[in-house]
Amino acid sequence: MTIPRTSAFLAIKVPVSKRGVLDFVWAYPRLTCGTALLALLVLMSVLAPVLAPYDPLQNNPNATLLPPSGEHWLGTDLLGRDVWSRVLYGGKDTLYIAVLSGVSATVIGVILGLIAGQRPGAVDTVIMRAMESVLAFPSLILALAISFALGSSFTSILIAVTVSSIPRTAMLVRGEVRALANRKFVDSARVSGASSTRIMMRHELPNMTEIITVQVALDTGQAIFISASLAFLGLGLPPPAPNWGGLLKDGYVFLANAPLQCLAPGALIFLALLAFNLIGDGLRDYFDPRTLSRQRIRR
Amino acid sequence: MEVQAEMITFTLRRLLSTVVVVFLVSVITFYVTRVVLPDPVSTILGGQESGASAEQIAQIRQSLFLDRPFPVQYWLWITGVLTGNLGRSYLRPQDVSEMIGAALPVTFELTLLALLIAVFFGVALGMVGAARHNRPADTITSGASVLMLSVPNFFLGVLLVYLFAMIVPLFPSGGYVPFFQNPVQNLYYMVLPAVTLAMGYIGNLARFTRSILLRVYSEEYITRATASGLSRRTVLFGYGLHSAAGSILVAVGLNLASLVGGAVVTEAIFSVPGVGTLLANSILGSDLPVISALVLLVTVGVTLITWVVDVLGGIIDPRLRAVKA
Repeated sequence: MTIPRTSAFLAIKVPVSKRGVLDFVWAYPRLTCGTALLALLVLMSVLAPVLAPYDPLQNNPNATLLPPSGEHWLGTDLLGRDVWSRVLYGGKDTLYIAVLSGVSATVIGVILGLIAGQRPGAVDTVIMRAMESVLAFPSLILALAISFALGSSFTSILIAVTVSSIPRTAMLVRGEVRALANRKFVDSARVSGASSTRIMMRHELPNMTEIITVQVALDTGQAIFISASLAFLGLGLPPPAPNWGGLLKDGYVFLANAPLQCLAPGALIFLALLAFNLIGDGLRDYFDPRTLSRQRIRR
Repeated sequence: MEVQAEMITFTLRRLLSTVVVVFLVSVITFYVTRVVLPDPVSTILGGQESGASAEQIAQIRQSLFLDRPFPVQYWLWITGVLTGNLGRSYLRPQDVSEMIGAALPVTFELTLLALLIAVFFGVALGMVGAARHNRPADTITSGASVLMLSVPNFFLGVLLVYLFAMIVPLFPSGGYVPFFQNPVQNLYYMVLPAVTLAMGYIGNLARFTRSILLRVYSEEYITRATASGLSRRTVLFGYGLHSAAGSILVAVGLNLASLVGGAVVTEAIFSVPGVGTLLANSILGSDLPVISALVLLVTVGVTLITWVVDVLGGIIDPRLRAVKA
């Protein structure tokens, strides 16, 4: 298949819009499932104030460590707070920090990758060696060290989670820039006197929309995983606001008596990761010209 | 001779970039764990700075070289590390090297077991998917792979503890028995942690194996082999797997870092006294010498193993040498 990327991009868009929703669902099951799952989780988190039966931060000394019941679906925690309400509210911070980190990691990674790809030589070497070094750390261990150094706060966790995701994007984009640099439309832009910034922004970046979109989805999933791992190890967002990783950790102690306190937030983290992985895969299918031809043949 | 020379250049080139990375890793480690930090003096004094005189604090700072500029501090630290002197713990009356020495074999065993499980099942699943491309078996194994690589190890671990240690008490919910004390007990305690740690990598490797095998299967020499009447098994496994082995090995090496990272959480779930538990405890207690030493050793260890695996991949599959160069 040697369809140029841009035309493949257009070729996909046209038939899909003509085919209607059901055909789209049939053609891209992973993208559909992932998006639906994510929509459900987001909806749950946004509607938490409506859905939650109790205030997630309200202590109640008379109702500590209650087992699950009709009144408290998942029971109550050490301070008498309703765990189900905390799980519903916990989605907001969990998803917010993940999306913020996924997007910022991608933006920084794309910028570094573009610069490294544009400037072979010293600049490229410095950026790439730095990226390789960051990549050499197991992401969780780097995130642990950073969040330890910066203390427990929203910003420090955001930085810790973001830093480890930057290198992959940067290296990916750099490779793509290198591949594009030999293409005729980039050459012709350069010959006609376009500045390197213009070439980057107008000619190279639009041709990377696909890999960048996929990368945002994967980075966001990774961010959920890392931030929840940090929370599980006791380095999560500061209390009392709930988040799924922290709830899982708090509930683990009571696993034998109230398993759902721990398993429910864990299952939601699992579903969120699944959603982002499915969306990442689905987007890859969606952008891949080979998938399209396969779908066409099958129909 | 020529092949040998090529292999040597390949090995050395990889070694050179590994050395650069290791150096930068040590600088980053030192910077993050020692310089960005709140004052370690308060940790040593147990949060009771008020009881110490200004002179005492100054003395502690001096003994830790905190009054020197960053490059000097780094130099003193790295020469210590290189000569095997990792310093003493701030919290316990113990040498850091002693603490790490006790924890390292535990994590090594856990990671190795998980790696074996992951490679076996991952490659097997990937082979099934590729051999039955676009058929039900492929759909099922692909679906299983996505589920496995999405399940976070802390959730899986907790679920396994609940199911197989509490509901059906088959395995212990946590703890550790040294291998040389009782090998059978040791493996018994390691079953749940190793499965937990391996799960994500089974999914990862299954997908990678499947896609690389599909690429191999579409090549002409495979068609030729089938056409010349070789059995399906010989074509798929003899030819296909042989050609993919190098790439799969390199992928295993690339995944090693996240496997070690995952070990930290897995150890925390099952109270396994390995490097991860030590790191988590040191971070909660701000035990700087242990943190810097652990972060550095783990990362450098992973980097060196990755280098070895890369070179092995180049030995098995000459095409990988060209790609890397």
